[in-house]
Amino acid sequence: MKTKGWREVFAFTFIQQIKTKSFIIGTLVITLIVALIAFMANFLPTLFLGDMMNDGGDDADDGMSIETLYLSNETDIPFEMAAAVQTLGVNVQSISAADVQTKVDSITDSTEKAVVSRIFMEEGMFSLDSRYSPEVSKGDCEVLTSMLISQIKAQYLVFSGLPEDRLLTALSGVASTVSCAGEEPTSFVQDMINAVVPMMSALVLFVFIFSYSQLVAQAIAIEKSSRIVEYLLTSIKPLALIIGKVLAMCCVSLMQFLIIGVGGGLGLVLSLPIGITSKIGEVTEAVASSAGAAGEGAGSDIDVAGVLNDIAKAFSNVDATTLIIMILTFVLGFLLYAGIAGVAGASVSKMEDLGPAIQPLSIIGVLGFYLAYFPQVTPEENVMGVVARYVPISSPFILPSDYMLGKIGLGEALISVAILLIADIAIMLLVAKVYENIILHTGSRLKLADMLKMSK
Amino acid sequence: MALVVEHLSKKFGDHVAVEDLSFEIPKPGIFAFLGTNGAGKSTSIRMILNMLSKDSGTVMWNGEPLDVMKEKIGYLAEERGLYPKYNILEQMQYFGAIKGMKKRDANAAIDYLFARLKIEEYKKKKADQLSKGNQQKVQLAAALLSNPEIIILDEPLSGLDPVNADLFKSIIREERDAGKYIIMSSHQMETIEEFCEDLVLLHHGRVVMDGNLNEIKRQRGRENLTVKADRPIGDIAARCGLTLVEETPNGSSFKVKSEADANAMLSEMISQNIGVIKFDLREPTLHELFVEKCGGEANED
Repeated sequence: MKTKGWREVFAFTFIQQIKTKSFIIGTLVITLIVALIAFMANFLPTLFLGDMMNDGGDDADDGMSIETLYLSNETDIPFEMAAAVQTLGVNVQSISAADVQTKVDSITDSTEKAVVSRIFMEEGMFSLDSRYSPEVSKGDCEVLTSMLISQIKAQYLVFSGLPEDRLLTALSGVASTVSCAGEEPTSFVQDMINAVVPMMSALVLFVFIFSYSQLVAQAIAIEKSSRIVEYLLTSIKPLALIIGKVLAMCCVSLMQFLIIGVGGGLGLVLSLPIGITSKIGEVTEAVASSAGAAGEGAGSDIDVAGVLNDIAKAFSNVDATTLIIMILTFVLGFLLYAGIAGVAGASVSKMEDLGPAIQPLSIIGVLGFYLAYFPQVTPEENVMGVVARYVPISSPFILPSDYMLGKIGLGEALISVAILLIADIAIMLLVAKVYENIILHTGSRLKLADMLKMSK
Repeated sequence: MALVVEHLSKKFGDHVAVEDLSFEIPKPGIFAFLGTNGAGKSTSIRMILNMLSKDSGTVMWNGEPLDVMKEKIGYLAEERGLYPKYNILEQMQYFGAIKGMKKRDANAAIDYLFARLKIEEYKKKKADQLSKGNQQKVQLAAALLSNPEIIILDEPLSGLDPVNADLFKSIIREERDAGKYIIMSSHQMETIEEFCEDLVLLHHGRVVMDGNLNEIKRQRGRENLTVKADRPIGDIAARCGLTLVEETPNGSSFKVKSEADANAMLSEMISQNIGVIKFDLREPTLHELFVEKCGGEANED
């Protein structure tokens, strides 16, 4: 039995690998970073959208540094700003156009927390000119002017005769989709997800599969260079040795991958009570109420709920089958690259020869990665993308995201997995034959032709 | 039980590594497997251990082809090593596991061998924290871990200080006395003479000498004579037909064709009242036999 003993090799390699400082520290640090990114991705938008999410009524913004707005309305439209601006805790005092300069001068060197604003017509459009005192922050002034602009738009529409119940519609942006006949239309957010996720997924999978494959080569080279392999081969066959080692490394990388994934998920879960996802209701309500009152926030084109809905829609295919396909592809992809790495590692008898020996692996890996990565740059389905899905050196990097985002069905995914499996079997048979014959070789690094010759 | 190697051959391309190697170890004991550097010893051992495919030949154990995965075989390779960054105890447990030992049995064997080799305190250390000698002790422990019936020791004493060399020798004797079949390869001829009764000597992949060492020596006869006298003895030696090999402060060394020639020389020295300080007629040493068989074209690889 040529594979007898692979379990012992597997257990030893796995335990020794997860005990290394590099694994423990690397996993911890990366998991923390990913968790933090996930947390911040959900939490940060709440900081930027904080003003919009005030519920529009009674709560003044505690941080607002403006106490008084001196407003000069130089148009023939009777703008009424007091009610809206008071929601920010700002009192409005109307001034005439003639008093504007005097007022600006008076706040220039005073400790008064005030803003002087002029509304006037210029070249057929409304203009708003605002000057803030040294005690006021520019950010607060921008929040205030943003609200004034919204009010000018809304009140002008009402003044022009637009019924208030149509105001929200008039101030909202126009949703637009462009899609090929026969296909489900997708939003901008979905298009972004369809482009970014495969690229990120290809990058992450490449890093994991490729780096752990290199560790396989390194582990085998260590066994050869330390001469321990000669002792091991009195108890087990080379095939058992490489199978145990490759599978152990595969499990280590998968475990690290999952730990980091769980870390990211945990970061997201921890951010749920305070993140943007918890504010969907408030945002929707704020938008609706402000629009209804032709007041604050009306005209905002940030549709958080819509964005989240698009995200959910983009990942609607994620289920148990997706996870199985992802893990299967990862494992098979790893076996392919680790098999090649195993031969590279066995071809050297000194650690310093390992770098040149794994160059072919690097070339194949990078080629596979680019084959998977570049087709994602263009949104349309292209020939290179289709080819990448079925070529064994690139399919491990692209198949999981393609299936997850619904770009391919289960049938296509299974065909790709089957091709990858056949490639794995072929490479493992070749590896077993070559590895057995070169594992005891000492001396200079073997070239591919030498290895094939020795395996005949 | 016997270990029988018959007609073992191996070629690498056009290079003949081993040609028609045959020997038998019919009973427990220590068998010397000798040869110059590059003579084919390691290749032969790898073929015996089935690590390397044979072009031809068989290796039989107890009348059946030797199955290294089934039989307990201990191997201390010449180019030996350990995992440099792993804990010694865990490495030993791993070696026990791949030899099919239960963890409890492996731990018991490790405890015994480490105590015997006086390296108990190194169990929790990493291999690269140990001296070369202590690493060698761990490797010997690994070779003996499964209480093997067949033990192959390739240069077991190289690099050891005299104290540890004696410790290794005592352990090798214990294994021999326990009825093990031991194949020992070494370039230390004194050690081989100390331990081995039978031998095979390889040169350029071919057997140039084999059999029982005492028998080989007996067949050659007492042909080495060392004489030290208080007067020059060159003339007497020439008259008696002795060939001078070398002269040193310890005396003159001669090759003798027969013991009668040596006796004639001694008689003449006595009759001439020459003071004899040393007169040593002896069989050839293994070292001398080795150099004689391989010395002319020793391979320095």
